[in-house]
Amino acid sequence: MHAASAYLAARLLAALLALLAVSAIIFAAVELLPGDPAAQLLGTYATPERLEAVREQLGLDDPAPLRYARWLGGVLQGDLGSSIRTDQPVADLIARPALNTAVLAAAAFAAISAAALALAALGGVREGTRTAAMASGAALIAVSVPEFVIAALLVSVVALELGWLPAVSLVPSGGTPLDRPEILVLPVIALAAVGGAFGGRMIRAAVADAARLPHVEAARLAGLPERCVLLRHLLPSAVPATAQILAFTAPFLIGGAVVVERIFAFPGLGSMLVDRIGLHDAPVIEAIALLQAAVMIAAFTIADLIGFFASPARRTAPA
Amino acid sequence: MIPRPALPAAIAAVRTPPRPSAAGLLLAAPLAAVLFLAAFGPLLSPHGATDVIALPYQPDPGPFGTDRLGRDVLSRILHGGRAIVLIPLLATVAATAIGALLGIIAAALPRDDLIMRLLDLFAVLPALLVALVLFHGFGARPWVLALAVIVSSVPFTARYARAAAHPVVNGPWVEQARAIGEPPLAILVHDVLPNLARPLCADAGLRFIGAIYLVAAAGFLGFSPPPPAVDWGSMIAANIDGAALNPWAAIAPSLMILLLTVPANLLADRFARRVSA
Repeated sequence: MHAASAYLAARLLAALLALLAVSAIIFAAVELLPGDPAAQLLGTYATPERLEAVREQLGLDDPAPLRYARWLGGVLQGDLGSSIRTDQPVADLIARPALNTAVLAAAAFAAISAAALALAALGGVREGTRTAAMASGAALIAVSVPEFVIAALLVSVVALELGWLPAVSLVPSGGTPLDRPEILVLPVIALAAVGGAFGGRMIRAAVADAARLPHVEAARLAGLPERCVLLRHLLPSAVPATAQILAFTAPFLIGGAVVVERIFAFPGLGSMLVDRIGLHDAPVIEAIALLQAAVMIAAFTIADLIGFFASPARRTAPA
Repeated sequence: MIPRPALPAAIAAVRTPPRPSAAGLLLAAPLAAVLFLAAFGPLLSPHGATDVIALPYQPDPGPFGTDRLGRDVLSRILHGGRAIVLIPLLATVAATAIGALLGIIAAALPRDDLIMRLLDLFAVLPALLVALVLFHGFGARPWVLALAVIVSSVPFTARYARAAAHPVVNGPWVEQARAIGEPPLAILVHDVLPNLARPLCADAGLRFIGAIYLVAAAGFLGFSPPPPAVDWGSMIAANIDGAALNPWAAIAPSLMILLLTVPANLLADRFARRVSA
């Protein structure tokens, strides 16, 4: 148990350090790249005096490390700053879209996991048959289709041509997408198709690798019933790789959500990010980027921890 | 001249050129056709990319009708391929060169943690997020799109190149070349790169597809060079609202992207599988 808690502590510390480093990259990329926020804010109303006043007000004349430290200190205390456009606190601004996107991403992740495991099981159980080959081929084709192409085809055919499901995601004000679940169907399909097909192919390969492990072969040769081999020896060996693969669908979800939200006019973080890039609203961009990076790091960390605690060999081996 | 040790069987096998299969040729044909249209489409186009030829969203003139401003969808398709193909192609070549170099250096160093850990920080950022942040600073210019592709693929290429280069740079023939006293650059060119060419090509194929996704998705989100430039991604986004009137204005560019990404992905997958087998 000592080795396990040491691993847990080390892994969490590494995740926090990674998040800290990524926050510096994000801040540097948003704040230090060319483009004067004061000039963008004032637009045609810019005069030298006004520019200077706005720079002063936003603290843009301070050295970059000081500005980063100030921003990070605020973030650590839960203060994400204020929009330079509307002066609203960023936390208030992104709370509702973050909730909407979380609902969408959770539904899509559930769909991805179900589709990937079903695809992997189909391929694994019917290994070498025509069904398995067709499932694998279909998955490879699905992987090749960008989310926004799937989304565009769904909108033009299923929503507009057939009229079965809404093309635009109208979330009731003050509610969540769960209040009108029908608006989630098409976005979830568009988001989950690529990730599910990707995950299915990878998990199937992981299960096939596990089936060739010496202790699985030994269990089979010792005459254990097939169900026992599968449940006690084969599938547990595939858990760490499966957790990693599902974590690797996080970039599909985060990147995909941006384009899918856009096409369905879904009021989420992705739509807001695209809008604020156009408005050069640096504090909002930084907050959303940091949130997305934190989700990625959390996904990989959780996958590592699942892998560690699911594998008896690594759990007891000296670090 | 001191005789060189024979290549290990696995690497020798990788070096023998693959025979083109019927399925491979079947996949290569549509890909070649799309690449041809992307490169030479503007010369074949019946109208200019911005010529207004009829009312908006008419299904009639040309095979695909008109778009939201009454421009010929076919002509815009023929003009819109260069950005989708050329930027990813150049960026992937640059990213593969940079990533391979970093990976080989990391494989050759006794302690390689630093390079990989720095690159891992960038691997955490989704490619589209990298691209959007760069657009915030520089605007959606072609070279910014290329930079986004490079920043988001180098970490993965470097990691892959390091794994592939590890047995090579620590192999007996590199050791012997070192012992003879060949300079590092000659070892890199004569002994290391030839053994990595095929795995790096396989990786570059997959990265190229990722780059097409990224550039097309950026165009779709409205981040593409301003008119008169045109690309298939932004065509989908611009014409989706008129899908009830002329669905082909949005479906045709979608199909072009599919004809590019699906065969390219299937071919890259076959090639990568053959290299790793």
